[in-house]
Amino acid sequence: MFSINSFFKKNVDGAMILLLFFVVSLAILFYYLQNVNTNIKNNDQYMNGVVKLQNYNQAIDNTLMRSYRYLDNDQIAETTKQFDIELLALQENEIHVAFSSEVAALLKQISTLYEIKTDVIERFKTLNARIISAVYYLYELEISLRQKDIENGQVQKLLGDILYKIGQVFMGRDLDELHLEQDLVSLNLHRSGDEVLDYFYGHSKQVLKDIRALNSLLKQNKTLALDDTIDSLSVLLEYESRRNKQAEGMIGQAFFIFALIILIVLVYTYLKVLRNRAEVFYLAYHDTLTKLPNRAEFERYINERVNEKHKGKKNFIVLFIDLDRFKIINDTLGHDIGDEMLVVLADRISNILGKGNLLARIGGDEFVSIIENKKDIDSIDILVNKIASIIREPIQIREYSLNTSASIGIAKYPDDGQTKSMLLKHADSAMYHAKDNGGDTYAFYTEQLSIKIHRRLELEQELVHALKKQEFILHYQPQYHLSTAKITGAEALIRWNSPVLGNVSPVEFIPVAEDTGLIVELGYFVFRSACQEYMKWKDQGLELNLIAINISSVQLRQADAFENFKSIIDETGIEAKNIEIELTERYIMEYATGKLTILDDLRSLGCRISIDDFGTGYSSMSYLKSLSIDTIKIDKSFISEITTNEHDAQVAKTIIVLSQSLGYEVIAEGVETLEQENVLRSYNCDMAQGYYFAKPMDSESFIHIYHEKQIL
Amino acid sequence: MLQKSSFVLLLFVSVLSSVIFAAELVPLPTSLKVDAKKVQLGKKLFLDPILSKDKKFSCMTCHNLLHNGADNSAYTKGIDEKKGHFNVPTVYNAVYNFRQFWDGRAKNLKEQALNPIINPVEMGNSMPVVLRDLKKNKEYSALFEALYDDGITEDNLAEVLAEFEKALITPNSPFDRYLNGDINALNKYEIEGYRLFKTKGCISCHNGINIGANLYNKFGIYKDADSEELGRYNTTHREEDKYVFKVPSLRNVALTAPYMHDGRAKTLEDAVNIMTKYQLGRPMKKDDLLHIVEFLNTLTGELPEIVKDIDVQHQ
Repeated sequence: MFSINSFFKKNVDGAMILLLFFVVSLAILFYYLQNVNTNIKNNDQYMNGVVKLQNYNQAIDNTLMRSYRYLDNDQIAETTKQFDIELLALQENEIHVAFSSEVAALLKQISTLYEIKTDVIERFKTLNARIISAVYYLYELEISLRQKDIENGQVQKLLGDILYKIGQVFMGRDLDELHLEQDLVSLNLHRSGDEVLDYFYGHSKQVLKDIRALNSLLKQNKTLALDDTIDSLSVLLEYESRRNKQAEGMIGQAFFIFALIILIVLVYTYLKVLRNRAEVFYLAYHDTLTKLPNRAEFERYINERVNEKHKGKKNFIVLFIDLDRFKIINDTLGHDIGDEMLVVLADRISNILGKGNLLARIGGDEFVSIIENKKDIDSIDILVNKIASIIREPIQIREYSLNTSASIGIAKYPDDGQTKSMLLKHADSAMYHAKDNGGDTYAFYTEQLSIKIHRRLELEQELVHALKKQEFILHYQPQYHLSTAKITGAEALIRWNSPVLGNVSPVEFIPVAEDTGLIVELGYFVFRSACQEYMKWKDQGLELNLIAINISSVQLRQADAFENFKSIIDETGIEAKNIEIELTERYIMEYATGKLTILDDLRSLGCRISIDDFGTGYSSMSYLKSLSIDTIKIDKSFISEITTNEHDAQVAKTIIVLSQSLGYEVIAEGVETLEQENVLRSYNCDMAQGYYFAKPMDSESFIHIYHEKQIL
Repeated sequence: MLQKSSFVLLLFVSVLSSVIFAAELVPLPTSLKVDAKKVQLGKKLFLDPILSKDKKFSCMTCHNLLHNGADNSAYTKGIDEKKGHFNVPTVYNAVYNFRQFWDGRAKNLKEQALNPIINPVEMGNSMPVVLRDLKKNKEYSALFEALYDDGITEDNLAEVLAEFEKALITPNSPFDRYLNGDINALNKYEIEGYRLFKTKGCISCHNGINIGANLYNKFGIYKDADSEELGRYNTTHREEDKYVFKVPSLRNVALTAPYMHDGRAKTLEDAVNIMTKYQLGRPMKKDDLLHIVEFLNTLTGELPEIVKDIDVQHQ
């Protein structure tokens, strides 16, 4: 899980940074565009200012075209003032900096030209006013002179000519300067002190002078060409503005592309993350080897099923499938073979289960299935059998043909548990039960299982400390000669009085001890105690042939078992020949086919060996032969119905005959009635052990019984 | 030939008449839009001798707001009895002058405002001193701070003075009322005077809303005026600009004697006489002249509200 977290972290972090970049560049772009927008507005405003200048200048030029006409001086003053204000505004406007120095230079030039122009305008106004006023008077004078009856018609004509020429100018025609001058010279000659003529002459001269001045003024204005300069400015501004816009546009675009690239990278990264996440998710919830859902996924799945909130929760069945002795194959043939096996098996089981049922691998050789298919639920045993048989089928891997089997535990929901943990625990118990039964089988969960397992756990817990707490004692059951009823020996039987659990039967706790390995320590305790007790009895004058001690095969598999036994024998001082070791039939076979030598060693010490519960396990004559034993103990199952069951009687009889013919002694277990005794006696059985004679008892009681029976 | 020339003449005359008669005078508006706070501050400063070097002269000293916005002498009289070179022009309606000063060197009221303060023959002060004195005054400091972020500066000082002067207009003269439709505002002689004002050609220079003050002209066109002052020549240094001055406004002219830039005309009659001889270059019948003078008397307007609370003692 850790790697998944850090994987995410790395990608998410990168994505975060990119996102930040994106947002930041977007913000910058936005701000920049805002700026550009303002710039454009300002630019346009600025250029509008220049347009205004053009308009004002145009108005002024229009005025200058109105020579010899009435001028609205107030209006002209206003227009010139506006031009001034606008020009100043343009020069002082901050947006100046966005434009080149050429613009500033042009503005300065305009300013200079304009100063000259205003001067021109003023002089124009002055001259115009003078001319108009004077000419009007000339006209008046001409009329009054005409009325005055001047003898000199020539003078009259002269006046008329002069007025005419001036009138032409008023009509917009060019001034006939040369001739007007000539006329004036003539008039001067003919003035002859006439006051009115004097006035006429004076004013005409002034008018001529003023008209000349006006004309040159207009020419001067033309050369000023202020309108051209303003136009140049306008053009330049447009050019620069456009160039600025282009530059800004490019920068804007660059930013945009940059942001776009980041966005694309972001999206790509995100998609990659999504894809990776999907992959990781898959990995998180699936077993890499078999591709089946893994434990995490199983847990999730089953949680979902159990916690489903809708009505009519569906029933389902949980199967725990545990492969038997898979570890051995792994250890002996190697993990690759083992893995390939698992893949094949996973495949097989999947196929059997079909789509509606989940199969998950939750452990090395553990699978679990959730059966939800109704048909399968109804015929679960058939399904489970199918699974078991498909697993049983040989698996061909490389040159090996491998066989395995499975223990399958079955728990039903909601019958066998309404919570996930309960359900799984019970399926597990069922599976263990199947395993306990030897594997290659299946088992349903029962209530008993729980109790059994619970009990088992209890025992385990108590056993651990029981020995230390001296909760064990030995009881002894006499073995007696059938014909003489003399006590020949005693079987040591362990008893456990647990303060917590009460009396726990060895039938219960011995297997547990064997499973947990506690049997070893317990076994030595029993062995030692029994030997010690025998010596104690010996001191007390009891003469017994032997003391029979059950030893667990688990114990005998210990490497140092012989040394330990020997040292106890030495320690206690008992003679080896007085010890009879009781072993199970099964163990004999195991021993015979194995490499261990412990029994031979013990035998060579002098110990006797007896086979317990004979007839119930694997019996093979060759095995019996290979290991010289001393006693055969007929299992009580043959004795209990010896009087009623012919078959049992025959078997018992056969065992006795066979054993004796081989030179073994025979002892019958579980003799409980006189009739049984009688039958056995008739069969010539050597010895017996059973409730009829005496129950297992503690040492004191045994001594007492011994003495009692000896008297008889 | 004669036919043609007389036809042309006729045309010419009609054009001319239309041109001349196109000139009409226009009345003053009754008020102008101004910034009230600046006006008040400007007024306070206008009346305050703090601006002058000897702390005895205020703007009011030469520009009597309770009378004609000018004084009654031919030349300005400054601090330490210093004599100036020009007849004080009226501050009334000065907002309508196309330029300020007799030679038109100031473009507007604001450009003109500080000049008298630093003119050695007028208030004889210096701007640093003025600013310092103003800044020392708590009331002025507060008033300026309230209006301007940068407080007391030359520019702001000029601005408030100009704003005050903007408010100094004198509407509702009898002539204005006549122009506005009150035909009874003028008597028949005054009306005749107005007609003569136009036909004699006075209107060719004295026109527009301020009845003059919108162009320059040479003083002494048909007769040499013997002026000491050179007028525009001082700035342009052109021969033709010698003795060229700003044509003054004729509003309230009845109150602003003496007349001309050097105050040479003591009465309106004298003034009109000089004008006729020097500027129009034509004879004028006595009656006509008197009518014109009567007309000129109708150009006196009403003092604005803002000056009506000024203490008469304040001189």
